[in-house]
Amino acid sequence: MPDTTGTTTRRPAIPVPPELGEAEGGPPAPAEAAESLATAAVDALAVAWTMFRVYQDPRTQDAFRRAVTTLGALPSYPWTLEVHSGGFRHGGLPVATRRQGAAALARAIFARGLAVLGFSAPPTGDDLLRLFEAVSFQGSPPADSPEVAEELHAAGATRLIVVEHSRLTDTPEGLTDTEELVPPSSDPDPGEPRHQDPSHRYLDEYRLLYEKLEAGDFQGLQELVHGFTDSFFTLPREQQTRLFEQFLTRHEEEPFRLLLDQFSQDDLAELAHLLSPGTHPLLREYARIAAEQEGQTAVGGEMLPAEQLVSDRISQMLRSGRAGLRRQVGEALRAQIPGPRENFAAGVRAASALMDLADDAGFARLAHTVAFKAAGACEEGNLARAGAWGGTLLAAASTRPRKEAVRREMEAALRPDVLDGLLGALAEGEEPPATVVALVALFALDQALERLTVEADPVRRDAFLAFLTTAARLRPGPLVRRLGDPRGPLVLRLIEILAGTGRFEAVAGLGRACAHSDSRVRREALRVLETLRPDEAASIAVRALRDPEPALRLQALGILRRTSSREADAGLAAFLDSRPPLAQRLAAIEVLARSRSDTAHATLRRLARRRPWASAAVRETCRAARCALNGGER
Amino acid sequence: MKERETGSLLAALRRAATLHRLYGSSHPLTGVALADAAREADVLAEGQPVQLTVLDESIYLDRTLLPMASLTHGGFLRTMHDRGLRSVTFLPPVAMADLSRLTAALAGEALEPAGAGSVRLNQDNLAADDLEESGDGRRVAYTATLDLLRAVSLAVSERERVSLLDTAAAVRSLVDLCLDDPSAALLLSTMKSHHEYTFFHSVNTCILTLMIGRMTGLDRADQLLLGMGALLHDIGKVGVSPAVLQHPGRLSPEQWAEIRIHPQVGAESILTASEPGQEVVAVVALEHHARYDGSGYPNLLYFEEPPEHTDGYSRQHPLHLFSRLTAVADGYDALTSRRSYRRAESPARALRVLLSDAGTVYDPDVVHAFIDIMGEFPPGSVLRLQRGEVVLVDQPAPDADGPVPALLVVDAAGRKLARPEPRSFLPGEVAGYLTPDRAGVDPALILEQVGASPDD
Repeated sequence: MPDTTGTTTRRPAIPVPPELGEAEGGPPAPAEAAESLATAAVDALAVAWTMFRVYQDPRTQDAFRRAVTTLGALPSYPWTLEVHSGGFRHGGLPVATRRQGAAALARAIFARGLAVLGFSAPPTGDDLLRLFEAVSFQGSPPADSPEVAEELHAAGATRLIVVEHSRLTDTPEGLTDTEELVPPSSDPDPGEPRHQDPSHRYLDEYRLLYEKLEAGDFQGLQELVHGFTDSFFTLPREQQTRLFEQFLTRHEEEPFRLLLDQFSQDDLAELAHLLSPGTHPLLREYARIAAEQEGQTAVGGEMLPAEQLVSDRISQMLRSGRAGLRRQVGEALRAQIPGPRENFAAGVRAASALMDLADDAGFARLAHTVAFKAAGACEEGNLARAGAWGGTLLAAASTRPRKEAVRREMEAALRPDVLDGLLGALAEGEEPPATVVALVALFALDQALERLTVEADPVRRDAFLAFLTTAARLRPGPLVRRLGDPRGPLVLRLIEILAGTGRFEAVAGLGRACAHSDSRVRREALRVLETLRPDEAASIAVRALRDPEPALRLQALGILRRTSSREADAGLAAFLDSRPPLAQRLAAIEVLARSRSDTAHATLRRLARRRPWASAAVRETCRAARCALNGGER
Repeated sequence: MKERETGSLLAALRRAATLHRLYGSSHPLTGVALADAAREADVLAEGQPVQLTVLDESIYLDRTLLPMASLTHGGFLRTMHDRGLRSVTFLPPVAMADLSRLTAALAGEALEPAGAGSVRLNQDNLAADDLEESGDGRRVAYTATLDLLRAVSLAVSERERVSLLDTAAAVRSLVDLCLDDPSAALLLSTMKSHHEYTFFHSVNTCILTLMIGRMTGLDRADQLLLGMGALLHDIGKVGVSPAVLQHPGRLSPEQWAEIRIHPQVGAESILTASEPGQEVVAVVALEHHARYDGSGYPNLLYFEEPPEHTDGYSRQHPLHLFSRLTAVADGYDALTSRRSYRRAESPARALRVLLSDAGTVYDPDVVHAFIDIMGEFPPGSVLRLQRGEVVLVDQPAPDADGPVPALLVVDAAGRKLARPEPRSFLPGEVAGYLTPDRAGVDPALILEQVGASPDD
């Protein structure tokens, strides 16, 4: 929309910002409303600024008045904008604007040292004019001129809010106003025109940009530091010297330490020649600190002489005796070339170190990796590797959570196909490492037992049996628990394994197996029990006297014949009272005859009483009893 | 092929975008940078429209791949990709105002439509089939390895399982390079990128380590394992925040703590991914900062206690040989690279540092072997001769007293040569060392110039 004030001008028509609230469409969302509000306000400021720069008295211009009206219609006060060198921000977000004057105004305000601009109440046209006058460069403000806020207040612009961050002292010659940002340094040299000294401008501009960086903008920080470091080397030597001395003097300040740290040893060595004698010790001190912090040897403390010594050594190495050195070094290194086994051992050791360094969560991950490596090696039939991995894992399980992690991972890793691989290796005669036995014993014994039951090949079965016997010696519990399994053949295998362990825990289980539904199991259990614990076997043998299986009763009698105890005698007495078949009766009497217990004697006497009307079997029993009482002659 | 001109343009664009971001579009410095960039664009275009296309981590000029620019301007590649820019077309004469839209987009401002003008964005995006592949095997191997590292890093950062198969394939190419053309490999290892420091550093460390391994007499299988360890030694840094990695100064204790765990992070990832026989790759990642005297990090218990002897493993030094080889190469490349916290040292100074720290930080035998390989004037060294000429050493010297093969880049009158010329020199002619950026020399670009034919 063109300017309609009627004022004649040869300037191009200035577009007028839309009034607040005239946006097309329905009411915007709150965030959008705030954004559009900020845009409208900035546009209004830009228009007003342009009017100020174009017209002698912008208050006569309709566009200026509209801008003032716009700024006076903000929904609430105080209302502020952040001022940056490239534009305005509101609520931390850049304000989009179509006005070219907005960027120029932002630069002008920023260059004047203001970081925030706002209104405590609807501003008047005069308020805006005072502001624009304050930020325009009409000349160099004297060094003792008041702050912008004071200046505005003194001029009657009381509705403006300004917050300063720096103060412009001069405009560099040759640059347009508002386009250079040169805040005063903390210690200005009154005798030196700052703006003509690139080193001062360098420091000031670097410091300003450093402070303008947002927290967390690490990329911006890097670009800033690198950019200023690179540009340092394009300065004339005398400027470099002055700047470098400043860096050294102020190296405890973070911004300058960052620059100083950028210099390589080559850079420092070169710059050291340029420094004044009074500063040189600072360079040494800095280099010493830097070298210590980087963990280097004390080359930095005496940079130049030590460096020369090292250079001489390199030259000497390469020129005199290079062939000899090459041979010697080559031989030394070739002697250390590791083979595959050493490489593997190093890998296992590294895994151990990793598990030691890890926290519990990391340990769990590593346990998974190592468990599956152990299992993988087992599956391939490489028991040595499996043992190495397994051993590392077991050794690393030093706390309860880690033990649990290892258990979980190994139980998951030792799948049936892994055991197939193990079985194959065993069948080929490979001796399993103790750690592989331990792994199976601790984490896969049940699975291994199941695998055993379906193994038909006798060679593989025998090899597996031997392996499981070794495993069961470590941990017989799972086998004992399964002695109640209804599958007779399985339990027979279990008994066979347990018999080989010699472990005490097997005994209680075998006792239970003597009550197994399968008579073969009962007989085998009783047989093995007698070999392990004859006294326990005797008491069970007494119970076995009532076994429905005749062969088992005979077996029991045989056991009792080989053992003697009061309990056995009482059992035999009860057995005889149950009127077993004659042969078993006679066998029982024979056992009792060897006993000297009262029970045995009383039983024999009772049996020896004559019963003329008894059956032939009874009379035979009676005769055997009398014979036993009389010392065994019948 | 206009690698040099394109590199200059990209560097100018990057500078303009940086200044735009720092100072805004209206600042005089930004204006100067834009003018430079416009001038470089006109030089590149030579009166005809040219188009830069970014596709699959590569930069194309019209339809021709620019491998060197692709390698050294990875940051530009990424920025273009992040901003949704596929191509930039320059129609000379390039206007600053038009260029300003591009730099604004690169600086992170909203992307304006391509429109008319002398700089058009995304106007004619070429498909992969339209573009040519070119570049010799050395750069292809280098580029492929960089791409692999980016992929591996992404997998590690997202805790996905890493495959070492591709790593092994990439290392094989580098092993072949080191065996077939060691001089070229050494010069290739001088490639630097400040913005992709970790990736370039990893590839360079791999090349340098393989060179030491070659001298040691490792067989091919061991070279492969060594190379994988060296290539992946810093993979754990994906777990370190960019704020720490890019911090331009000394680290606070908290920041240091974050850096110090990267060997463990890397080693764990590699261990998880390793197949049987590759476990030693994780060892290198774990041990490369442990230091020869054990005073580094992490604190490895087996440095203090005699390790258990398993299956005939005989300990000579607690640190694995591969770790000690990698540590020296790692230290050398780190010293000669521009880091976020320090400018690059000259190759000669880097050798001096290694030798000073031999016996404490580094294995003395390995340091001596490395110095023997690199010579007094390592490839990539930029030297000023007594007559004022500036030369770039492009090969190790055959013997210490004889002439050192180099390329003349600045003549005695101070004029930069358009195309470097061979200029060997004697050690006594050397007046001083320069760092490449101080001398205004880009070793990688010179490598490209020397490798290209006169018609390019």
